[in-house]
Amino acid sequence: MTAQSGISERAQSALEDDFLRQAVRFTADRLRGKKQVSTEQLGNWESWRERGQAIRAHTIANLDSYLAQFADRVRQAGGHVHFASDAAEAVEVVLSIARGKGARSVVKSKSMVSEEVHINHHLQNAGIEVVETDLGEYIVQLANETPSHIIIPAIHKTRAQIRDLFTAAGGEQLTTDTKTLAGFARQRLRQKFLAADIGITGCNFGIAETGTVVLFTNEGNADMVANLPKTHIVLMGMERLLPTLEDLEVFANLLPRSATGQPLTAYLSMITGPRRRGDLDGPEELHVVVLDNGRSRQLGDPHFQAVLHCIRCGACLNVCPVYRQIGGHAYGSVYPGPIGAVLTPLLQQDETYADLPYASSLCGACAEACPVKIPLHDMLVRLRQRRAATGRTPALEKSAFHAYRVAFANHRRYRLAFGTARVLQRPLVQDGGIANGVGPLSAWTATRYAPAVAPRSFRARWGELRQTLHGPSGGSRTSEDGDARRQEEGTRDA
Amino acid sequence: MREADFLRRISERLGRPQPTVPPHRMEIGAPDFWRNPAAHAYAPAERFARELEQVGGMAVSCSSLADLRTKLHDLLAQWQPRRIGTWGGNFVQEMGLNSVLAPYEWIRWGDGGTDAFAHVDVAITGCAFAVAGTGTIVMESSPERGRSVAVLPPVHVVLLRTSQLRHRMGEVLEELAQRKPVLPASIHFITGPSRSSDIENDQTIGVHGPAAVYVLIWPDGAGQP
Repeated sequence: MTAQSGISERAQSALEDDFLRQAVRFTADRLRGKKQVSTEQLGNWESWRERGQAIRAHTIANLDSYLAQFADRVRQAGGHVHFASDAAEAVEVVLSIARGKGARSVVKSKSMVSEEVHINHHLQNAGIEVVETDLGEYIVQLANETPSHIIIPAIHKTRAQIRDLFTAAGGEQLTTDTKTLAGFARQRLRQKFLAADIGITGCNFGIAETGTVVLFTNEGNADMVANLPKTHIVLMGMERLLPTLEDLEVFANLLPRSATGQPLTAYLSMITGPRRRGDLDGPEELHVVVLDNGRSRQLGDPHFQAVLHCIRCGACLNVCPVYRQIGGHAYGSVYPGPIGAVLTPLLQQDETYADLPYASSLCGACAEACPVKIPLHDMLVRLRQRRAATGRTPALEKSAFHAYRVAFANHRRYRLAFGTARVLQRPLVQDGGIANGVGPLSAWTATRYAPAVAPRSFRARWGELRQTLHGPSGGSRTSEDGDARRQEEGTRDA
Repeated sequence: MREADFLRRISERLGRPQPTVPPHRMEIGAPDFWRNPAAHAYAPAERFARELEQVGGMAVSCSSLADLRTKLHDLLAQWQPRRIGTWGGNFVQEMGLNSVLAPYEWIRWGDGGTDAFAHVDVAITGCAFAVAGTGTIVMESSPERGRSVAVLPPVHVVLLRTSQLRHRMGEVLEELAQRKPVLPASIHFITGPSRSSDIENDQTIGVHGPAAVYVLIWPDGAGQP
């Protein structure tokens, strides 16, 4: 999966994969349906969203002080806190801890930040075994791929593919039934948990007032990753905080319902420091790595600060008509879907992902689904504007929009343009549409309907229309030559 | 990066030279309608049982501690576990489970290392709280109550007193907040068995944690809800 080819090319190959499209659509529909049921059962969903938005907005607007408080509390509970300004620094922190422990194996639970800094790749290069323990992530890791959905990483894999991967990993022929496959993973990963030197988790929320790391999982793997190895490393985006424990109740209602439609995930774990005196399990050392990696650039930006409110539920993916068609890999970025199309070009502000904001129909379904009401579609438009302002848009697009502006800004030019088009289109029109466009228009007509310019313009028809509306004796303003008169008066067209 | 520099960068982006005390806010925690007891006008033990069964757990209602012992005895007789693991300390004595456990090989947390619990078939523990609205039990770690007791064995049996039931998670969080600045190192909210839908959306249980969660509820009289 490369980011170089551009979103259109990657989307094209995704569109040719029938299993992928069917699987993505099925999963998205299932999650959406469950979300609807569980939010209706809870009731007052709008009030919950508003409360969630208010808490996140307050937290991000005061992130400096909450982060300072969180770090103090983590240390007070006996943990260590590291600050990483970019991915390279985060990797270096993790590697130096691993080197210090002489670690040979690491178990991980699902964490988007760890994908963001490509920690597996770096640990493996240092000769350390890394095992993903979330079932979906384990499948994706064995296939040497990346997650295609924030919540269900292996959405794109068939059970036959999973059987083949597991059979290759275990050396024993397996069947395709879910129980057998899950049983293999349980047994195999259990050994890894018990033998690992270091456990790495993400962090769904950090509680500032207590220095607590909160993790939501359904499998219970994060608990094992955090409890069994002697060292626990938490990788967290610097914006993942909530001020108080009480605030957690709001997000324990918003996150699982938005992500999978569950009232609560099977496991919600709160970790405050390493093991205490006399404890027989739990890590001896807890390290929290706080990552910036482009996040602070969004602070103070009136249009984009709210992107840091995101709680990574994936609800925007499940409703996005574009994600439904192309799946997660086509985005070519760590974060897919609408949130990925906004977040990725913000975190990495070069040309690599500058085309992602165009992978959207701007329908606004994402913003509607967002449990903390991030205006994602507005952000997508602003990112397009930002790109246009840098002058990097294609020459053809620029000249097309220039022509559009010239024609639409003046009624005479407008009329002239459409009059000309009416004559020129004649050889192309079939059944009221333009069948095979020429030149740049062909890119549109190859996949979309392009209506022909109507034989008579609205202006030309207005006189008759007005008569039909008001009747023939509709007063002195009714006139056969209404079109001409309005032209003289310079009236704006309707 | 140094902490001070990291934080200063955030402060500067937010338009101030260094972190300032956050302004007072009105919107803390759940909305008022959710805090209103009228929003949770149900019998907590029944609601807990219903919610737990919704997510694939089993709730067993007991009329007394003696009845609980009988029911636990029957469950164990049915399962015939090779090894049972329990919380350490006086948990088994306090609950009067010695005779119930006598026919089986059983270990207490603390009798061996964590590894000893890797080969336990049935874990028996108490809990700190339970949340009726979601069918959730809350476990806190301590030297006698290891984190691994509940999560390593394939079957987890929880003995729950009705006085430990709360209607909503927020009540538990408020009680925990009283204990700041330092909470127990590990607090687990567990809602039914371990589950995954990662293989073609087909739900399966017991991927990592227990495949079966049984909660035996008995009325302890104190603060009977």
